[in-house]
Amino acid sequence: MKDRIPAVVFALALAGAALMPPSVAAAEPQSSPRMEKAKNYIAEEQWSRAIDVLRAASADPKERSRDEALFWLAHSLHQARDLSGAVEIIAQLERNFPASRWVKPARSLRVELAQKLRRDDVLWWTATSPLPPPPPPTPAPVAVPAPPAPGPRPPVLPHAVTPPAPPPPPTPPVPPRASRPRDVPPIPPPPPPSAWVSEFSGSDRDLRIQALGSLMRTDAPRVIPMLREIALESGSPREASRAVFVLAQSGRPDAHSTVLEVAKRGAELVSVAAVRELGRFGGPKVSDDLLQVYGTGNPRVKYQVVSSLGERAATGALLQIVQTESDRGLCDTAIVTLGQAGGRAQLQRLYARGRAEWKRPIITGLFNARAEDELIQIADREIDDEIRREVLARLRLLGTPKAKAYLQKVQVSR
Amino acid sequence: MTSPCTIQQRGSVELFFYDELDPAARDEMVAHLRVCGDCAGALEDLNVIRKVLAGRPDVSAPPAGDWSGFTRRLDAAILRPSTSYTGLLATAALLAIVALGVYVASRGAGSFTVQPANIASDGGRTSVATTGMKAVGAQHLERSKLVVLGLASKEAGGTPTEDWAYERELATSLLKDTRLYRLAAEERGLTSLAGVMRDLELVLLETSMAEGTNQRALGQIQRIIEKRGLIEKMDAVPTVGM
Repeated sequence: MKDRIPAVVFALALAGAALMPPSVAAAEPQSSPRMEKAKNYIAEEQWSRAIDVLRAASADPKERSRDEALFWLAHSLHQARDLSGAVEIIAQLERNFPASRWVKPARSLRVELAQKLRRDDVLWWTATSPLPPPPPPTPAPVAVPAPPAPGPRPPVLPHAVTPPAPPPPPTPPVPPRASRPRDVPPIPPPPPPSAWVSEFSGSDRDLRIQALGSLMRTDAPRVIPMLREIALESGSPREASRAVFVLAQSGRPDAHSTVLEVAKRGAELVSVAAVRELGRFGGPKVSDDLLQVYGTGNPRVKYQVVSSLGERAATGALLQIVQTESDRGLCDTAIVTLGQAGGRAQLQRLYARGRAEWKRPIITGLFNARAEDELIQIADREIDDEIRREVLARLRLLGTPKAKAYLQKVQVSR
Repeated sequence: MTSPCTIQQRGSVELFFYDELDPAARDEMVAHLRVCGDCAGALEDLNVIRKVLAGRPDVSAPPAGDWSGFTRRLDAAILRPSTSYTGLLATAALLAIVALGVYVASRGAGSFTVQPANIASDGGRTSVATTGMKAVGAQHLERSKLVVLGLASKEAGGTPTEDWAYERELATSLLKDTRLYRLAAEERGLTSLAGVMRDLELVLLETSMAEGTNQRALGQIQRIIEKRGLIEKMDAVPTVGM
């Protein structure tokens, strides 16, 4: 009986494999040894070797991951500074495997290539193309009977490899202005630049944001309203947050005011993202802006404002919140953050006012600020034994020479 | 089942470990440790944590050009056949590193007390944006460690049922942000940050595209992490420079 167990297990395994739904089996494409080798070269940044292997893989009809091979080939060509070669391969991937999941990252790579080659027309095409319909339920790669064999590259690209910033196209397509009135029919997207995109090409909102980020340098007045629209109207908070990031990091005053508007008017998560980016990228006066947002925001937004003010070490604004906020949780958080922001003097003053509910967060704030002198003073003066014990515990945790000496002194005097 | 030693319950082992007992109490504790298995075990566990934490590379002085090998040390620390709570404690210590890193990065400074943001005194937008980008980058790298450390510590040759769905899901959501941040870092000339983001993007792309419980794909991703020295770079860039 014992000898039969392995055979039974094997039979069960076979049966299980046979019963496995085709979609599951198909979802496990094992990389060929050749692809693994190519990826090892990619990991080691040996681009020319990777390119050789990937060219062979992408041209081999027996290769199970030709679409993936094409993507990594484009990636490797890009890394090897063969930008025009990379553009060609992306077009080939879109043409031969239009439903492949590798098409999306390839399109993102194309946006990057267009940015490097200053092809603003391609970027505008990406930014204004109609969005695709919802994805089909089974996005398996479409097999094409016979992919084109590798050969001489078609002379479709006007650019040499690594050109020194080619001139802008003579008549760049005019993008639609986001500020147009709503009753005006939308301006159709500009015709796609044929050397870069084909009828198989497409865009989506992430690619749009990426393209708009590149166009911010040259066309900010047109780009900002489009990003604003994504930030305020996209159904996806993550997409909206990315649009907010692109706006904020541009450093432009008009983009800054748009981020401020999103912080006040956006959906909760987007508003939180806008506050975070204001804190990171705002100028010296951004604390006032953040306090404005605090005045209108819901609790989650307010917590983010407190956090952002803390990151900026805006002790004055934090103190203002502590003094005016009626919500206990927010007030406590602002006090603790004040400590992290280095507001030792403010915390000491607050403690002196003697409001019982402030004491514990102030002690925490001072501890986070490693304010041994202030904690020792509190320990000396505090008459509430429980709070005093807490301060002593914090001093013990700090463990600085001064704290240790004080603790020793207290122990001796007891 | 016996209840743990009351001395241990009072936290005296921790105080002893951190050298916070007065001399008399310390001597008593030394004597107690000789006879109490509970307390001796607890002390040993604390030593394991300290060892794991101390075993981290000195990221402020990375060996020139050699970023490889961290994964091997990570494996040695985590995947070594463990006895008692050692493995769990090592993992806990690593999680603590990540959590602390996220916290510190979220504060935007290298200590618990935030230094005032480097706001351009000339009112120039560039340096404000660059400072902001550094903060974004540091926080994003810390967040991404959840994926990268998770992948690096899995056993590629282990049981095929071990799923890494969490890492794949997180990788998918982090990938687009990573790309956007890399492009912004490149634009600002933050070359080190952009370089790490590029490596991270590669790992996240491979991870998000991997299917099911594909152990070979996991091995491939781990090789990329190791060959690019990604974990050490992610540690080093926010501290050494962007």
